[in-house]
Amino acid sequence: MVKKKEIIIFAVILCLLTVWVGFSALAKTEGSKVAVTVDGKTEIYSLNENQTVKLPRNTVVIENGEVFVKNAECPNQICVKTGKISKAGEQIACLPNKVLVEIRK
Amino acid sequence: MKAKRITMLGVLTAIAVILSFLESFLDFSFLAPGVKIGLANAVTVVLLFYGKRLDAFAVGVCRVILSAVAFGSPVTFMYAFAGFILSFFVMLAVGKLNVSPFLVSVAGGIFHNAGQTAAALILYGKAMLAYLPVLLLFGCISGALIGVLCALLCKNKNIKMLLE
Repeated sequence: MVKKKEIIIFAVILCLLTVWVGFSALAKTEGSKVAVTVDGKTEIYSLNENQTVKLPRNTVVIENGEVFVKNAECPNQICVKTGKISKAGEQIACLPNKVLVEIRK
Repeated sequence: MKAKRITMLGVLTAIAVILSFLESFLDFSFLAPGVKIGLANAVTVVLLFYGKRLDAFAVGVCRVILSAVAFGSPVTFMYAFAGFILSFFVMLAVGKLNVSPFLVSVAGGIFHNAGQTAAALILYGKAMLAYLPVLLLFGCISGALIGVLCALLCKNKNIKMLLE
């Protein structure tokens, strides 16, 4: 029932998307700043300075050039599970608490 | 006939909500927050394939609302709703091209995640664009897997009998 032409269309789309993912992964560079946005307000921290940022519902830790969310008051704990990030453009998002941690150049 | 339709839609909505619930146990959050494989979309694709556009839309909207109330949050509702609306209309358009449910599902998977990214852009700003390539690739792959399921379901004689 699935025609051969459709498989080819699917394969082409899959290849294009894979190439895009590959390029966007290669384009990553080292970052130097950490932007922490809580409910629309952004604070900038240095990535090279070890510190702990306490937010109302999350704890963000900057350690040895890496950032991670240590704990969060939310049911899914996605931000904690995301782990450590260090490259420019990488992010940790905590959607329920409206927190976004982002690395910038 | 009317009673049959109401019953069918109720059962299909229930199936869709259960599929949503089951897939909430599959955790792909290491790829990007809130990624799902979209099992419940199989119900929408099958209904679209039999030309029941209004039914497909109604069942989809009810599924999104019920899933959010039962085991989601207002935030997950916004993402799921944005994803559903965009994917629904893209699937409607692709479905008119006389293709199999497989390709309809692939298009749905890709555009569901595009819709979610659009919602995330509004909520969190352009930083969320970083997730777009991974999300679209994942949508394409999961859409294909669900698409195989849809192709099998649409071939099934019993389902055909029930829906026509």
